Amino acid sequence: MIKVDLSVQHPRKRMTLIQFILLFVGIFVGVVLIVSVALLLKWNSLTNIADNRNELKGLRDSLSLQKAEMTDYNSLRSRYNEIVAVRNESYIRLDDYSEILSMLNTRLEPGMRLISCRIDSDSAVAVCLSPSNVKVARYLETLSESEVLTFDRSEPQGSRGGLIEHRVVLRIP
Amino acid sequence: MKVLVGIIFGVLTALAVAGGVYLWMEMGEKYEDFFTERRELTEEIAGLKSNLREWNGPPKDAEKIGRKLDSLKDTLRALESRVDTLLTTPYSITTEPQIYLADPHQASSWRFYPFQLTVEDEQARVDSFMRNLVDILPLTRFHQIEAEWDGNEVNFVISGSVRFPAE
Repeated sequence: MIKVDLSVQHPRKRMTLIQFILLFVGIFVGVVLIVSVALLLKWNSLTNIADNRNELKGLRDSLSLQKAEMTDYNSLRSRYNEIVAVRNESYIRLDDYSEILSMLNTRLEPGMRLISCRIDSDSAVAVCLSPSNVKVARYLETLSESEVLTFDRSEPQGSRGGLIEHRVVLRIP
Repeated sequence: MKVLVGIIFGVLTALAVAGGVYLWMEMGEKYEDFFTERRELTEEIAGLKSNLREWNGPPKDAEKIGRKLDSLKDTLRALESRVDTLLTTPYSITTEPQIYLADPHQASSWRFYPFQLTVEDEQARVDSFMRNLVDILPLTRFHQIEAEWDGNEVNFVISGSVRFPAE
């Protein structure tokens, strides 16, 4: 039996050193290129977001400035309004007191006399002398007709000089 | 020799990859920081915008109000320095009123000077005295008025306070 080897025998080529170096340089350059491109893309997205953040910072600063302006104005306005309101309230209160004092005097029934009174912010207490309880009742009725006072209670306190002394308590609504 | 070249290039390639990975991670961290900061800024801006929805810059009267408030404060400051004498000055009635001025006390943004005045005269004149007092010291508040009639004369004990802005 005869065996025939038909394969072509090639002489085994070995890479030269230069080829070997070139292969490694190629691999190295390829790797460096891939890494560089990836880093560049990353850097690009980083600068984009940084720019975006800086723009937002600028907008935030400008809005903060506007808010400070608004707060300043509102506090200025409310302080001014507060002072003006206190001033107006002083006059209103004074008018109320004057009116109550005058009403306590002018609405007395004939024969009645006002001895004293004390007016607070929500009540008025008057001590008066009257010839009869009916007159006191009428006096209180007239006082209550006004919108300034409402009748709370009346307490007889005895008599003085032939007249009945009454302690009248009125509410200031 | 080839082994040596292989080792050198292998090390170089590994260094390049390691450097790249390190830079990538550093940039990734920075990116995360920026991203978080941007999200916080966006939220802050949304809050500010909702606060400023109806704000179109300071109104035209802002400067005027500022001037008015300053002048009001100057006037009140000048009045405060002589509040005790002013409480009796508007009184043009012959009888000298007695005045009891307590030490001022501070509450919120105001300074209060409590006072008590005793005056004896006709009601109409005392009324006008009180009105003058409020004209001169506009932030006067009367808390209590006690009156005792003796013929035409009335003995008044008026308690109240004058307030001034604290700042």
